Amino acid sequence: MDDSRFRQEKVQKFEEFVDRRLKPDLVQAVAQRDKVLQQQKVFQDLRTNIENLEKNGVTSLRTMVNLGSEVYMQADVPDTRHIFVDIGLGFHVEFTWSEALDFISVREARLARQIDEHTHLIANIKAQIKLVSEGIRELLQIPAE
Amino acid sequence: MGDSAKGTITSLDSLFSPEEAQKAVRRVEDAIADRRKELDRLRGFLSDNSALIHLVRKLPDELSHDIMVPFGSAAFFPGRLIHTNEFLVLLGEGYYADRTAKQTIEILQRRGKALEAQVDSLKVTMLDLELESKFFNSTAAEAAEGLVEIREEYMEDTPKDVFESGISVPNPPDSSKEDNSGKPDEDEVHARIMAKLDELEKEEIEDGSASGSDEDAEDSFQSNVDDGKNEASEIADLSMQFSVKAASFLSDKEQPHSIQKSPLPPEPKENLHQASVLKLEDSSENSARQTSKVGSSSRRAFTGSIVEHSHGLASIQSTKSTTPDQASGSNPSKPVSRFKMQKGIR
Repeated sequence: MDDSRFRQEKVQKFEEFVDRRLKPDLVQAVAQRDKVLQQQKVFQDLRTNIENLEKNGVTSLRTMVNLGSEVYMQADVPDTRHIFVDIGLGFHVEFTWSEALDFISVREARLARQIDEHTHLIANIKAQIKLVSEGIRELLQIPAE
Repeated sequence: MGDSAKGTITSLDSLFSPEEAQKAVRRVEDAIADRRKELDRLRGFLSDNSALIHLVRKLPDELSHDIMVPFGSAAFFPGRLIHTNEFLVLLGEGYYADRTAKQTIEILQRRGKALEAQVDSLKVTMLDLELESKFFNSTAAEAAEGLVEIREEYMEDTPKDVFESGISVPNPPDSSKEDNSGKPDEDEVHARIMAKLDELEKEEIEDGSASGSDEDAEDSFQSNVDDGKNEASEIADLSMQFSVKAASFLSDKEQPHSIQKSPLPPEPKENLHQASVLKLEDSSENSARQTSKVGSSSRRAFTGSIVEHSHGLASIQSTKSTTPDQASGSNPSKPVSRFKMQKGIR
């Protein structure tokens, strides 16, 4: 009787731990990874666009600029050879296409590494959750046996 | 007090438990917080809208503007804004409209009005919620303090019974009324009576009898009327009360006041009461208008018969000058007659 009560308390504690610490941690780690993934996508798109420009030899561009609240105005880019890329910390550097592409590759590599780290963290948390669940199951099964 | 009013006392605690009230308060506060966030969002939209109107108004001033054209979210191209009077406005659901600056401004203004209407309705909702939360708060506070809700049946003040022996106690609140007929020498008598009452009151207090007179004196008075001794004691009680209610009594001068009909629970403190009655009698002796008192109660129709029990009164008479602690039981006959006399006067 004491035993079972003791076991029950332990099981409860484990469950609580899982629910209160591990699960939120998991959620947070996943959210962070998603952010990095998004940024990676942005750079991927940029790279695609620049490559397209290069391929088609586009020098000037007509585009629509969002002035705010989805009100657009026509804009003309006379010379597309120079592009200003955001390198972080609020700086934009003027690149030529090839420089921009290089930079984007470096950036992408960095982002990929960050994503890996996040993935590791997430896997870690998931493993912990599994472990605790196993422990709970053991506690419950052994008495059942 | 006793018999006259039946009431219920409900502690606010039982009606609204403080914890639940607190929970309700929290819930309402959460709702208020949500609304507030919405409000902030809407206000942000409104300010954006007005900034855009300003910009759209300014743009057509130039043929073209040099700008940095965004390319994706992480790159810019240096470029120029052209066709500065043509705007493509999203109307919703994938529909766009090409408009001039003026027309765009009108569209934006209409949008702003719609937003303002939303803000107003949200404000009204928030106000309601705030009122609700205030109510809950105050209820919680009251319940926590242990406020108690007392309900009493409303008892018509009808003088059912006789007020015995003309010791009519002028119900202070009512008495001021005027049943009493003329009062000559009122002041003198009154002063005397007041003095007597004060003494009685002191004695009463010493005795430890606290007659709480809250209720309608008449009611209590009437209930006791029948029992002679009781009555006497009642009367005495009343008189006790009387001193308490001296102020109100003032208006009712004549009385000898014997018994103040104050809402006293008829306690059979006969000695005391009788003593007080005695004292009162004394004063009353001076003025013959005792019975008029009954009048006080008798603002209402005097339906009962005046039963004059000598017991209480007699003792009063006999012990006129003695201390209030005199015992009881003697039934004075004198007072009776006096009362009768007074009755006659009335």
